[in-house]
Amino acid sequence: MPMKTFSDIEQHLIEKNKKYKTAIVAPSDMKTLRAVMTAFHKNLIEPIFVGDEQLLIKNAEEKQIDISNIEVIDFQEPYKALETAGKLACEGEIDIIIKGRYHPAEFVKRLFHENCEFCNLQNVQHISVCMANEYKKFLLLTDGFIHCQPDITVKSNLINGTVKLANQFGISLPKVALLAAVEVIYKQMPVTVEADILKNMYKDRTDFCLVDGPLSLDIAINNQAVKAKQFRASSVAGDADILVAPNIETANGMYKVLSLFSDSELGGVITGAKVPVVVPSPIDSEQTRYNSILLSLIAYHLSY
Amino acid sequence: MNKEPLQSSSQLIEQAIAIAQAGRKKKIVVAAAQDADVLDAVSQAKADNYVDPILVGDKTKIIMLAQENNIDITDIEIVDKTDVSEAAHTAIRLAADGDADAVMKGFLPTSALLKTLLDNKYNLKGQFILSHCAVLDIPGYHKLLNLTDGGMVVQPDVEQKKDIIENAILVSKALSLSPIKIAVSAPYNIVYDNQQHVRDDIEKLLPYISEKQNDVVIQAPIPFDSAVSKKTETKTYNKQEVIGDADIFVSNSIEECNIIAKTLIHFAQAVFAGVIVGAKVPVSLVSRSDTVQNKKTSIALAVLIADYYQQQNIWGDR
Repeated sequence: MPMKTFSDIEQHLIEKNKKYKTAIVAPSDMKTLRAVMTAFHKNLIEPIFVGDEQLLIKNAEEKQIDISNIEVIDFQEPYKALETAGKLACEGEIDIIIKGRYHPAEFVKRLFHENCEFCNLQNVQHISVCMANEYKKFLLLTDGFIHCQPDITVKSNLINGTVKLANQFGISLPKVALLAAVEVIYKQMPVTVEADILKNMYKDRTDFCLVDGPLSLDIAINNQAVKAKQFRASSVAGDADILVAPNIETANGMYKVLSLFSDSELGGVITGAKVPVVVPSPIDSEQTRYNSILLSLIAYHLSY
Repeated sequence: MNKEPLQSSSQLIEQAIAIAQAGRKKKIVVAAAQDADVLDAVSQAKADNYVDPILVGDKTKIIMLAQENNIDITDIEIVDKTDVSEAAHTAIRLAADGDADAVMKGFLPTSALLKTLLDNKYNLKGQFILSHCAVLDIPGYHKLLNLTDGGMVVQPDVEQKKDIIENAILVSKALSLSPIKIAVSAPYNIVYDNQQHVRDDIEKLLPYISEKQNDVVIQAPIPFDSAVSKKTETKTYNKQEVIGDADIFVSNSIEECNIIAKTLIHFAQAVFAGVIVGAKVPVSLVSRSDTVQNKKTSIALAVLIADYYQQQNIWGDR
């Protein structure tokens, strides 16, 4: 059964009846903590708090969140908590890592780097998942958090990783749009040249995904724009499942727009490391954080 | 005249009307006007009484398109030039001679129009490079946001960013904004070693703009959400003025700006006005997928910029 909404994903996970061991690093972030407790009460995860125990107990009491019977590994310094969580993941002791009260960029830089046991950086990516009123199906967006200036090899990894996640939702042949400012290949716009190369790399892999680019955002997702601009025949245009942004600022900005100014349901997860990692943005609502946890449980079953 | 800051797309149009009522109604010349969307936009702007269009282009086609699409172009001056290049030159000549205050792109490539605009013989080059400003009215944001540059400069270096910002400041002044708050984009709000462009922004761009401009607050590095929302971790910043209150967001690439603007339009119902600035006359651009509201706002924005240039005598005698 394809999962078409976040509730479908939740239902799928409930039926699966598996409790994922989840480390929450520096857990004293109340929005994240609430989302974690929701997942716990629905029997989706088995949380382990890694961080300042006293602070956690104090904050949880203030907000009347019952955290009794949940294991705590006490660390005063957040970076030590993070190190421990990474180590537990490498040892196969935990299935998911969630960021609590920790600067998002610092967290990411410390956890994911070249030549570490926890990940091969080239495979790591952030994927946002959006369900917008204007689109009526899942839209996956990558990468707004990890790779500042992804080259072609990394972009190809980004495509592959996102396709695999889309497959988990039951989107069997995802349509991938390589975003640019225009739909034409101009030498002066390297992003368009790169998109063309990538598209050609995937032209014989139409059993895996359908790739087109360079596409502007309106051509990628808006059928009316496709018609108005009399755009050439394309199996992706107007109906993309996956948007690959040309650079980090673009994907990051898009996600922030969706989060701040649209009614979209959102979630996000970092895939490609030993275990999926949830790094909520400070602007994320509790619901978005919960959706992100759901995504991480789905992403757990990806192989790299 | 109203000197309150303009904070919505409807205020842009109201102000353009006020300028016309004050006896300074502007003329906008359309280059290669045989384009139904453009005709529709100028016809409506004329009906609202804030601009007098001059159409330069294939007269037969223009009249045919107007009839087919029920667009009222009576009383609009048409200069018959079937050749597109000739139409561009005629339109720019009108602007150069002061017979038009703003230019609008019709049925021709943007590059062809801008090349003509920058032709030395017209003396319309300004002090800075040309750049694109997308002025957005975003439901949920308390003021207009000027996203730049999503249309001209592909990957601006520090020198180009200086010009892009100078141009955007002129646009903000045309909207009576004071102080003008500028956020320069970066993916993170802290600087990492490998981000040379972020360090360049901080070490070269910020001091240059801050020293040169009085009424401007500029900050970097600012991710998009911090520019428009106070919900982010603001304790990262020493100065808070720009956080959640930016007038201008300066991007690092054409893609970033273009795609963020389109996300705002598609998913957040933002109203959008696009204009190319940097020359002595503003150039209004509308695209096929723009709504009527977007098109009318683009024209109003060009009117406001042209009026500001003239009132402040920015470019001296043309």
